[in-house]
Amino acid sequence: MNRLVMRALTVAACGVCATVVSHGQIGKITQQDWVTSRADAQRTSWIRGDVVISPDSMQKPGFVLQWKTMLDNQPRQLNSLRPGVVIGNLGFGSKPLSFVTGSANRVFAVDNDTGGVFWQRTFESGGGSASTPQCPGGITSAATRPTTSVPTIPVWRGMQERPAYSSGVGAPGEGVPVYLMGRGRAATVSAPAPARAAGPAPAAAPAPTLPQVVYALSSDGQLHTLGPYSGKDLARPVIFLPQNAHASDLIALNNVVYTTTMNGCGSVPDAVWALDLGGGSNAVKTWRTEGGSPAGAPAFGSDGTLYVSLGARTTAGNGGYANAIVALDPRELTVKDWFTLPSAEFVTGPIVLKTGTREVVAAATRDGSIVLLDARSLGGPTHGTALSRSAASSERTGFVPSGLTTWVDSTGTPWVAIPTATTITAMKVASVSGAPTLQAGWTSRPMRAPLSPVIVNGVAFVVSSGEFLPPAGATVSAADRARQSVAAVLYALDAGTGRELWSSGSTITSFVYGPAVWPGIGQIHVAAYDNTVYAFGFPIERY
Amino acid sequence: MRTHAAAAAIVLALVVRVWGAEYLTAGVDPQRTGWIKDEKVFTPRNVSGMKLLWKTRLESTPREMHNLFPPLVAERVSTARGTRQILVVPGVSDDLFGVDAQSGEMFWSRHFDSVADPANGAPPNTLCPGGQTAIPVLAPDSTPGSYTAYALSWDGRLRHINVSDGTDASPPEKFAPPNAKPYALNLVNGVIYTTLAQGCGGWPNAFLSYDLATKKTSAFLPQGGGLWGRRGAPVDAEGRVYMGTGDNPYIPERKNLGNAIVGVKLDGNQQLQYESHYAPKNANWLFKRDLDINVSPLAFDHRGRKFLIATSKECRVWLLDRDNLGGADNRTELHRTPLICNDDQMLDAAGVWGSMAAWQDANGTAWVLVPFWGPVSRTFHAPIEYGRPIHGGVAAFKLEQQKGAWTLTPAWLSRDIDMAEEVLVANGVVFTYGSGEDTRQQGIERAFDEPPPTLLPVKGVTAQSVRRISASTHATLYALDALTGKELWSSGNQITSFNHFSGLTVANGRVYLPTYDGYLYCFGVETAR
Repeated sequence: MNRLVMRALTVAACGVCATVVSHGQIGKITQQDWVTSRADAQRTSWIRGDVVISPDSMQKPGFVLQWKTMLDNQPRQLNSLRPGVVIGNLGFGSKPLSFVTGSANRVFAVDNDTGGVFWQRTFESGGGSASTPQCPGGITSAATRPTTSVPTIPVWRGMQERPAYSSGVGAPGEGVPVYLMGRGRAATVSAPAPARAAGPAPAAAPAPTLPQVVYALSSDGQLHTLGPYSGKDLARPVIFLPQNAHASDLIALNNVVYTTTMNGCGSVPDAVWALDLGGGSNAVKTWRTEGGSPAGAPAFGSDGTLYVSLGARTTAGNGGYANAIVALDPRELTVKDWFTLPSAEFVTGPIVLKTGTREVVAAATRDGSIVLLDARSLGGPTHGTALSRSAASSERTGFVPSGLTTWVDSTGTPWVAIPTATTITAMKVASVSGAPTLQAGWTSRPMRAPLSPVIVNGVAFVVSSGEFLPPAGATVSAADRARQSVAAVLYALDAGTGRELWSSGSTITSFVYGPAVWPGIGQIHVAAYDNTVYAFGFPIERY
Repeated sequence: MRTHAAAAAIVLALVVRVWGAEYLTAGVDPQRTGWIKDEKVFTPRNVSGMKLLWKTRLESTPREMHNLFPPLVAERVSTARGTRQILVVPGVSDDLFGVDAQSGEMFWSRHFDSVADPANGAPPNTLCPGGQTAIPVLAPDSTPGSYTAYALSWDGRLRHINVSDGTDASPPEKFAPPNAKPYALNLVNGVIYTTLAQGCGGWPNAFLSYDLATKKTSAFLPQGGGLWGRRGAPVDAEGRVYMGTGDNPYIPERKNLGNAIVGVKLDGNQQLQYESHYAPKNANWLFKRDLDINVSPLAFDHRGRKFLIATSKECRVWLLDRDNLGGADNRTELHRTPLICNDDQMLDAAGVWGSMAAWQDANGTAWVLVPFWGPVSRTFHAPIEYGRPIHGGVAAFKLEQQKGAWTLTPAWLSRDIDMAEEVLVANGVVFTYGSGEDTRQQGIERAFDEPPPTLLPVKGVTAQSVRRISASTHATLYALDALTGKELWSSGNQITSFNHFSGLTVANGRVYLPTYDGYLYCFGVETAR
């Protein structure tokens, strides 16, 4: 048996928190779960370690389609399935599950091993709404599990290595030989730690105890606290937003669930929303931008500060914030700081990365450039000074990147990657005159409307979405865009060089809309527009 | 005249002997076939007239979810009150009861004088309840009418009990470690066998043997998980001992035999030695999903072939050749059935948990009977079906050759049976029961608007046990036609409690079923005997 697969099995089979008493006696081993959209509160889209996926393993045969499952969902406009979040470490013997929200007001729990639908929920509709490309209606946000301000990377504790089988016989009347049944023998050697990308040491503290729940936002604006095993509402649903808003992917930190609303959908103001589930108050706080629409979901600094990036002004007047990145207090949603420039129409949500000891906030603007800001002072005294800004893209396609990705390589160098209409561009974050600056790294092979990469243990997984991009300024219906799109392809690239390591070829038969890509343990999942979820990974010997 | 009378008595004794069925060991015989070959009273025709003959409550205290285990039956025991058919009923709290099979009257009881606290202060839990967990084994002595019950008390000592009166036939002997979790004892050629599981008491999972003559104990540690088939390890005529191992990785190069069927055998020094093993091709999938081998395999000989039949929580059956257990690679079976149940590959509340049976009908056709929990697989079908079981059922297979290869061919699928447990087959009748137990171990989630479950005031047990005890219902006994699976009789609501990790016993026109509340039920057909 492949050693890598063996290791994956042992890891996957063991839990950080043995929530059940089970019939096995094993150690506790685990690895990072993709618990929220884009992995963590910093929205890095980066899983530090994986027991089977690595640049080396991806160059060898074996990474294949494990299963595909069509979920019972109907697209609204181009929206169909949102990226899943994973619970892979519930405990030994339990199912690793992906929780996937669907535009038809549904949530699915999909068995990551088999593709079987473990449960699904259909929420009651809060009333019909007109559907437009900007305001598709239905569920628009990915689910989330509770997470921490800084990702907690479980420590590989290794399975106790067992000696070979053995036997013995006691003296007459002795009973079972004590030496054979003795406890605490010395023949226990921990398994080695898995390869892990270097970089800043992740938080290795014991995982805090977080509720074993999944949060999902139905189209009527209610937040559902779902049991991962049953899909039941473990708590009474709470009204979080007005109905028919266009909400971004959820995140839950310190018992507060956050989202943003955009495009004025459902007459809901463009805003940041926080629902405090602690203490039973279920208080909702809102910070209205009074200017531009949030671009994607918020990100959080390691101190808990919330960052939201805003696009061009959509309201009359000059008040509020637009073309800006705003820092908010995570409890009160009061403005702590901001950066704004007229030329900085942000189109991606922010990410937070570290260069040395400095925390940097980054987001992309419509012209394809990436703005780096000092998290401690977003725009300096003038609120208009960035640490640096990369060159604008030469493409003129109207393409809007789905987000940024950041990771740290084995030398400790931070990277940022951005999709363009035809490639992935990855840049190193270097220090120039003391200021973090993006320097050329690599450019990927040609792709069609690629999505932002997901980094797993040194491998960049990129979906060439196949989405048809209408010419800038053209009005094309969702149906026509879907019709003119082509099948997506998943690529594995070396995150250090951009070299292609693997591709899914013609396996995926539909295009992919939005960043519906997420990893499981040793797996990559892709949700296509036609509601089919694909799981790629190394084979497991199920049958 | 006296000679003639003596001869007549001998003939009569032989006739009675021929008529009588005994149940001296778990699963009927050392091979754990579950086939009561000597049963002559039950027939498919008369079993529909079965009724409750008696029930009696034994003073046995539950530990966690365990209480009584299925009785053993010695048919003609010489007692102070004459020759009686005696049931030997083990109780988890280190008790043994001698019960008159005819009336349900308790003849004697024993509470073992275990050392002060075999658990040394360690609290019990659902999986490791402590106490006596192994079904004893009976053996006739050289004196007609005299039997010895070998029982393993909580402190790990082997007890030798006179079945006629419950006294010690000889002093207890050191055998197993204290506070472990041994499973049903087997006795072959003067050697007692058992297996340990769940790591209870902190002890490694192992095969154990005890030679009654030399008093030597041997252990074999396969370095897998627990060896937790409830009927204990089958022993074949060649002295080979088999059991499936529980969850741990299968790493043959390290000689770690997790999720495998392991065969061991005593050598000339009474030491258990590795004999052979078979690991399913998906052994590590079984490990990953906690679908381990949890049922005693059974050794069954048919048309000159020496089969071993095994299963697991995954819910398929492996047909193996004992003379070439896993083939050259240790991973090749003669035949592997499709999934019978457990499409969702659950670690609890689904899969095969109860013991199987194998038998041969009057036409020479061999059958394998497989009880299972949970919904039948969407892809499993049999020529005769009585619905599509939701809560469990029994699947019957014919063991036959097709194009030269031995296979298990689906024959019938029973009605729905709630958590179908151990199967026994007697004279054309299949007996099984739905335990009524709440078998869910994980994923118990309650919606905010669901009322909380009503918990019974069960003291001194873990929360899991309280929950499951409270949510359990009652056992239901079934008699099915062994050739067709048709329901011939059921106990309906007559049994008022469930049982957990117990079983049933069949002998001489009677079926015995113990329940969690300490009752022993006896259903049967009235006979002229």
